[in-house]
Amino acid sequence: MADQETLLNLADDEVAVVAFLSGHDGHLAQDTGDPAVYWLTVRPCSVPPEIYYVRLAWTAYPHSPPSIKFADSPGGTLTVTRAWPLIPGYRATSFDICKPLSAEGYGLHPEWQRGPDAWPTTGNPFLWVVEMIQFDLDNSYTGRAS
Amino acid sequence: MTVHAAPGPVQEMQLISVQVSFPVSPKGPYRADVTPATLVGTVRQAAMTHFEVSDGAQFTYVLTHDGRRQPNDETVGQVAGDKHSVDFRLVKEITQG
Repeated sequence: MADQETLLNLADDEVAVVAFLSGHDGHLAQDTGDPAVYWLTVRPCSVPPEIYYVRLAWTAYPHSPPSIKFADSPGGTLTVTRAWPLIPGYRATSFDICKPLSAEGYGLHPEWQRGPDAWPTTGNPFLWVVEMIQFDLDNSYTGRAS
Repeated sequence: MTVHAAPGPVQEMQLISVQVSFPVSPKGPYRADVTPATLVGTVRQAAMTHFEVSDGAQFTYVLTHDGRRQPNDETVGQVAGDKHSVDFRLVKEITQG
């Protein structure tokens, strides 16, 4: 379970995330069992009916990146290949995003923890992550994984 | 007697207010008033200077408007259409993975 500092920081920053997602026909929900876990509902602007559900699980916000997984529904299963969009770096068969954006990516590439790929801890990293996911959906999306 | 100058061929230049947001910067948004002919790439560079970031080997910063990547060679006037302001977002586009 995340500490109180993390929960307070997330509460401060989630307001901007809600505003951003509502402008992109998306939605943010907090997990009922773990307040450091959020569920995004997002969609690519090129194919609005294609809805994706993303679980962001924070451990120490804003100090560490979140685990990012796609699920088959809010609160649903995290190991469904078809829950993932086809986007470079989004690995549907490994259920991870191999970019300096997610805990999984930084785990695979420890060298990203320093230099220009280092996790950003200033400003609103929560919004930054969500913007990056939406950007990828809007600009690099080629379909749903099968 | 009051003399009014005849309307001439000079048309007043209408500036466009641009704002660029970047959520992980401790600084506030980059703001400027620019001519419609200003290139998106010019705004991008000015915003990157404001936010103190630069492109890397495996990532580049791009401006988005309404979610879409805006080409550097597009003009702010083209992006704005008939509006007098444009909100951009600076996004780090990561090409590695």
